[in-house]
Amino acid sequence: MVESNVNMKKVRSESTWYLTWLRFKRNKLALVGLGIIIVIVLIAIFAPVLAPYSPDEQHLKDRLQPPSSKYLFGTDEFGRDLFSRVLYGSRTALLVGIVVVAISATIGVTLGLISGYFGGWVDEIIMRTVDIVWSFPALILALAIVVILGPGLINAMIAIALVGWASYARVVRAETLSVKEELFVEAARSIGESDLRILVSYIFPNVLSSILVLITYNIPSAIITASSLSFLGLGAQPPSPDWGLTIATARRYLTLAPWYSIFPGLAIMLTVLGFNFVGDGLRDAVQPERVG
Amino acid sequence: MKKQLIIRKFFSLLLPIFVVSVFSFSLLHLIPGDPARYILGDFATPQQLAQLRHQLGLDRPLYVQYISWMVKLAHGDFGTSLVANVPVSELIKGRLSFTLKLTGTAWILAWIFGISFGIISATKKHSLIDYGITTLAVFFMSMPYFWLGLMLMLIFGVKLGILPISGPGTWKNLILPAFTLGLPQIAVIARLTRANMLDVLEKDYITTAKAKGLPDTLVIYKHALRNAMIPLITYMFLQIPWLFGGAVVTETVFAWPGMGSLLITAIFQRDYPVVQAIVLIIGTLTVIANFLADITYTIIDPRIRAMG
Repeated sequence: MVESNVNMKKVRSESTWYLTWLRFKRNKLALVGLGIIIVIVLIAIFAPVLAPYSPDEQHLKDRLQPPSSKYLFGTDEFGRDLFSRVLYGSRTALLVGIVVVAISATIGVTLGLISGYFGGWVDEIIMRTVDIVWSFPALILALAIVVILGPGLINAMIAIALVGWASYARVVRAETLSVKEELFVEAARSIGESDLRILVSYIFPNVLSSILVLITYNIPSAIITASSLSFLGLGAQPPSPDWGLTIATARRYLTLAPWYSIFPGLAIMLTVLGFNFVGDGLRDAVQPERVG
Repeated sequence: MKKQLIIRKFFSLLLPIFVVSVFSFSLLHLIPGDPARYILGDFATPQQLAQLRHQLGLDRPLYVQYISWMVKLAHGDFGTSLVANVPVSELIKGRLSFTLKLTGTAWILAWIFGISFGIISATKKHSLIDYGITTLAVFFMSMPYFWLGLMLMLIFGVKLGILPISGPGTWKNLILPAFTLGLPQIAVIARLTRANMLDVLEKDYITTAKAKGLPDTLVIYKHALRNAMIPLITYMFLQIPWLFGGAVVTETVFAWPGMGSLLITAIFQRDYPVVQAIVLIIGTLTVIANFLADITYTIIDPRIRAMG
């Protein structure tokens, strides 16, 4: 009896994912977003094949050249091909997104599950911390952490991750609170499943869709914060082709070589836009299930 | 009942402020190794190191340092800048008005334009202008402040040459930084207003009001907008810390002499007392903004009054 109950849950959750995909597919902007993300991932993987030059290759005779057929996005003050550098910059951006999300989500989801499931003073402590971290401006908190850790891309990623976990904890806790009242959790408890197993195999799969939505929103905000830190000189360091760092240098040549600032910024915007479109689509696709 | 709740909430304010103060205090102590050596560099003499340690109070037990730091703070003493050698409070005083001018203007711009665009979008749902506004909103929300600032500088300062591109000066110098900080917020508020208005416009009492034959403008502004604004009011406060965060980047881009650009300079100069003070100020502000958001929500929404 209990066995069949568990199996039914499994079947239903698979079809839920399928229904979510069907709803997602109907949203044109979301599909555009997905397309953008796929293209950027492909660019990051195949950058060495796609880039006409090495990102560090200097053409000292062609310094600060405007866009041309030879240099699609123009060149920088060392005569480096900006098109190649922007392509390679996608690697840093995606790396930031992946690393930050991996750390933030792990911390946030674990704390959220614990907080929602056990309640009591553990919940109280975790949630008060969440309140503070969540409302603190991400960039300032990240700056403060970078002050402690020192500048650099890795430290910037750690700092951003230490800021970003709060939203996961908050959402996962709220969902856990409602899921733990469901009959199948009661059933699991009555057959003597351990708390850990209930959290991992019964509750976690049911909060996964919300986590996925959070991830798609977390990646672009991490990319923006990281590029801001790099722009301020506290993130990626030269000669990295990081987009934020490139714009920091390009700023000095704004009147002389406007293309230098324009293209890396467009790259950031397009990447963020892609993830935001997917996030909106995913949120709308997941929501009807929440109501039911 | 409501009064009690507010008093209790007021006390719940103290814990986060304590946490923020401990965090700001720890900034100096969490540096791996010797903070004095880190600040002065490898070539500092033992005397210099000892003097700095004494100046920062590092030669005393940690809890004594914290308590004396807090006692001084209570007297408005934020310590002395290691670089400028003047009281940190003086440094900040000179910068604060610039930051307030910038964030205040951005805040006003955000609400005036945000609500207007949101209403237009909601009342002309699925029209060309609605699509235009919602699409532009997503674009502005996807740009980092520093790039948006540079692009505005490029268009209005360099190409059109109608606005000054950096530094303080007349009110004209404020326009570009204020819009840089304000545009993403306009986008957020327009989206929120639109969504809330659409929700409200479907409610029965709106249908009733329309059926009574009330003019559209009255229905929209008196009945719909007022109710649509309730969830937005908390955002009026919640947004404030974010404006201060955005100000750090915006001030750096436009060489605007506010607290944000001071923070960045202080970080590079390892001027820890200044960094600690600014983090503490923005942190406390964040906590207070949250508190105010919470309180207004409690006052406005009768459903919450019963709880607690």
